[in-house]
Amino acid sequence: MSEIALHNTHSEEHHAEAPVYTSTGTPMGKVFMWLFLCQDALMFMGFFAAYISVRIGAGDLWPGPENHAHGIEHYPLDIPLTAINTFVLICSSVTMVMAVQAATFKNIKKTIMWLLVTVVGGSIFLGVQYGEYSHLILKDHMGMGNSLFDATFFSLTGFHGIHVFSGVLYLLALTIALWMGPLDKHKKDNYWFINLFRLVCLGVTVFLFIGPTKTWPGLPHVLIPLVAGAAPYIFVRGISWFRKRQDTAEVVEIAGLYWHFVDLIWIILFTLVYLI
Amino acid sequence: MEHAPVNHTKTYITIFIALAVLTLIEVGMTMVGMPKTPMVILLIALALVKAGLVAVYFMHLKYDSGFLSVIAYAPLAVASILILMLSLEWAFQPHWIF
Repeated sequence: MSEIALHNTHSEEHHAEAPVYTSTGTPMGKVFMWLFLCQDALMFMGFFAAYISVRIGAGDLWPGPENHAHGIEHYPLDIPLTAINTFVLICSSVTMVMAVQAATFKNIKKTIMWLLVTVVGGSIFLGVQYGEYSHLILKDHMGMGNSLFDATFFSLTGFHGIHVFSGVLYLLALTIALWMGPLDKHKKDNYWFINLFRLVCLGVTVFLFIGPTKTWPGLPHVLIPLVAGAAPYIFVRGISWFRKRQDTAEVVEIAGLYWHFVDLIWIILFTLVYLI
Repeated sequence: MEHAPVNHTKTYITIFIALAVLTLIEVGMTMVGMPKTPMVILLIALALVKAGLVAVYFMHLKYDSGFLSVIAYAPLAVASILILMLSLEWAFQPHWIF
């Protein structure tokens, strides 16, 4: 029995270089990314459905761009600026697809370049969204508790913004992993400063969660420890995770699936929240 | 299982131009002050076309095995239930767009 087990372990190690495929001939990682996107799409659908039913209920009271055009009501959302932002996100989707293509042609330098351009695109999107939020909150005095318009706007665009933020970190970690050299399952990157950094991140997360943010009400109590401590931890953990993959093209393609999904959701969100 | 890589750059550029033009048309429609009902229907249709282009070409549903398309289109079944329930709300709130 133990001999068989030993033999199996040995043969698994021997074939470890071959990518893992499901019985349908599709790589395992891709199938699971699609399953994740499927449940994420369901989550967004819940948000969209809630938004649409709230809007139908509000009827003509809901501020819209056409009210704004006729000067009836003040419409706080800046459509031209967001249209440019949409364009930036579409551009980043194209650069991502170019990165995937470069990876399938095993051109790592071009892959890294296109990935970096995508990260820059995502960061510009986040920067514009930050500017938009601060304008809406400080100048127009919008806030989660003010009205259904404000609450649905911030929850929909904020939930999407968290996706873009995660995507930027995801792609940046992948870029750094590729830049460090070819991905290799048997490589052991075990640097003391990375381990120390991860420990510090964990400490910061726990400290912020039980410490100073406890007095701050609501979302910041959760969000600030997540962004300041947990996100850098997962980021560094992600780099070493990517370093131990074997098929570069597959890893980049799976990252691309996530990024395109974020773009796809924004296309629908932009129409529903801003234009209609 | 391995396929020879195919260069899709031309397709990607075409899709990019289509997405950019469709976005311009969408923004233009809100600027000219169209009547609300046709505008809402057109805007949603354009958004679905754009989302479809991204899923089919950028997310490679066209080139990958049909199994992935089954996973990808599964949420649409739930979406149709949501649309059905929301259309009931439409029926009782006729003042909105219909």
